[in-house]
Amino acid sequence: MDHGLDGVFARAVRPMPSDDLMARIMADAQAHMPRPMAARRPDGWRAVLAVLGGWLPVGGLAMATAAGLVIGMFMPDALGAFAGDGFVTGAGAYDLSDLSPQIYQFSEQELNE
Amino acid sequence: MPFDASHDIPSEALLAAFAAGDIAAARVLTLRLTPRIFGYAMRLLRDRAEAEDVTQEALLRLWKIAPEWRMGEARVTTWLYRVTTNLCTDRLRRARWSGLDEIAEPADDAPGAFERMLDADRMDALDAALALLPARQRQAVILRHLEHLSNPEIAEVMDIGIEAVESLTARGKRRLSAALAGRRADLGYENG
Repeated sequence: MDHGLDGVFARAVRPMPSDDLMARIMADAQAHMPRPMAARRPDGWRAVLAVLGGWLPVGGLAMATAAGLVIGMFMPDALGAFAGDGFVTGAGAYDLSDLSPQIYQFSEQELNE
Repeated sequence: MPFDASHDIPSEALLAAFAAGDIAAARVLTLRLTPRIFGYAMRLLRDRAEAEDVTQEALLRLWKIAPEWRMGEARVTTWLYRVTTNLCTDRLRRARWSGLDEIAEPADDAPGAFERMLDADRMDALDAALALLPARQRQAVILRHLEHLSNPEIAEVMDIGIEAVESLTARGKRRLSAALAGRRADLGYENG
């Protein structure tokens, strides 16, 4: 009985798609064709933005830069309060022992032992 | 890449080429796969318009998944048959819910209809007999004997074991033989 069925299967004709369907499928392929990797990679400012994390962080960075420029150019005297009058440099500058007085005692003890 | 000159390039490699932006690869895939998928959908649905919609949808899903396709994990043909099976099952289920046992046989006005009508009687008998089978048996018989997939491939398409495929195919063929018993002379075959 299978032998007979095999004959039927062998003579079966595959229904063929219309040219219109083939054209529609090709149009879909064209519409959804992935762009090559090189074309998808950001370039120029977009690459910089991508590295820095987008518009928001770049905006903050730009404001901080502008503020630094204004302070540096128009209010240099005001910087002395932070940089020149004993806070970071000069006679009143901090030493490591100010932050951790035990550090020298500890070292001396080790040497004595 | 002269895709048209060679039929030896695996569909998976063509899909990778398409994903890299080569439209010629999509053309070869379309010519290679559309007749198979459409033929399968047509036999399951017995409706040209529905089969065309399903075929277009299945191929559309292939184009969309191309960039994420992982080489070596699945075969394109098996994947497509599986998608098509599911799409057809959904449509048949919807048709049944809407009160139809089967989608109605449409008028065939596509180009080449006259040539196909030469085999119409024989094919109508086969398709009508296939339509009498339970859905899973029909899928298994069509995939095995008309689409010429191997049993492991059918198992993958239908998401069942190989033994289940063999069982479905055997029962489907028995039922098909019985359904066609009265049409032996028309169909031009005798008991073997």
